[in-house]
Amino acid sequence: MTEMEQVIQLFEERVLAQEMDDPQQRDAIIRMLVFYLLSV
Amino acid sequence: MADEMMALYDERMQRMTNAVELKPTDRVPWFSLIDNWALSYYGTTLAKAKNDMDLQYDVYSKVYRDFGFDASAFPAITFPLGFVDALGGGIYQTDMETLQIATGQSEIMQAAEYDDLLADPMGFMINKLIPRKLPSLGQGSVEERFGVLANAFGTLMAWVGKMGEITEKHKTESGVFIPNAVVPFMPADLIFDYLRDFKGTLEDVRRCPDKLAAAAMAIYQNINVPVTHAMMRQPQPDKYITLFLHMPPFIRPKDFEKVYWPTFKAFIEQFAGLGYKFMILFEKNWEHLYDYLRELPRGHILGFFEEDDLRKTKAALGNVMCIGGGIRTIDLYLKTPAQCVDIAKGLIEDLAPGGGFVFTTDRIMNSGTDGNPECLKAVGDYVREHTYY
Repeated sequence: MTEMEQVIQLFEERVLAQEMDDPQQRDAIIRMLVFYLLSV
Repeated sequence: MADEMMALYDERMQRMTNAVELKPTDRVPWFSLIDNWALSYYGTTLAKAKNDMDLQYDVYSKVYRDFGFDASAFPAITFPLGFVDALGGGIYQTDMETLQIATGQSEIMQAAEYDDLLADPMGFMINKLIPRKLPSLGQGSVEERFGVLANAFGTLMAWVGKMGEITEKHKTESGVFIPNAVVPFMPADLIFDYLRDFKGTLEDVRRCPDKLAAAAMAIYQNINVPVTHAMMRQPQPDKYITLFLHMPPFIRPKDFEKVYWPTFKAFIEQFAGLGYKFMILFEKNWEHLYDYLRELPRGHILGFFEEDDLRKTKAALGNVMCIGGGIRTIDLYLKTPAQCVDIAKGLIEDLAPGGGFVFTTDRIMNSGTDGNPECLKAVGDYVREHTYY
């Protein structure tokens, strides 16, 4: 796993998993975040 | 008072809904495409307002109250600038009068990398493009980068929540209908605006159109569809998917058909088929592409046109989508109120019959020179008082 993938994994575990049980929902939020990060 | 505002809101929403669905309505809706112009009208600046969303509410609500708009595209400044700051900056310039994207700074991917993107779209974006674009996420320990990302995400979510609150407050305090709910970028525009930049993308259109089209489809499948579903789980009568379309005016129809149309058409058809509505800004001139737009689903789109001849647009597309447009901002700035009303009257006489028309400006009002308030007031009063069917 790359360092950026580790960052994303930590983000999913420590931030998103606190709010969302559904892995599909967490995956969609990560995709949304990728879009926003590319568009700043 | 609250009941009166809700009744006004319901009336305005119904007027807009009828127009977008190409059904008879009581009069022509009066629509605001005012963005940063609101700052100078209020007497403040982007620098003062960009991190103060309560001030942004005051700024935009003054416009809605003073000019009596039925509906608007923007509840406040349109981009989460705090999110950008939390990431250490981006390509947006906020030290000017209006929010601008710096030119020539969006080429973060080379043409030779299309194969990498196609092989693993999410992996390529996460591992290559994001660290390349954002040094704050490309350097430091994993823990440090996680900290930056978590902080930026918190800022983004706070902004999303505040925009929702502001939109609701405009509804309850000004009765204005603001359907702007989610703003995905069409895949080819994401490449055009943020990955390959203007020059690089237009070179790709000529040199490797098949790879550009395949990359657009990969972004459509990996970003557009799941993210739009996540951000707007079900169609709602007061929420539209909002699209700003950038690239097509710069390419020929045969190139549009290859690199842009497949994903754009698929996106509209997929979500329209589920009952979603769209607010689409067709930037610059689209007259060379009407044969394609005629294929879009009927009664789901409010399309704003900037440089097209609206009389041609209505004739060509009026049976497909609701046409939004109207007075030129340059006329609102240079002509007298009476001259502006005459222009508006002529447009309405030609465009309003049969419905499916929303009156607004030809482009988004950003700079203070995009319109004289007296002219805008005169035109708005005319539209609200003299366009009943």
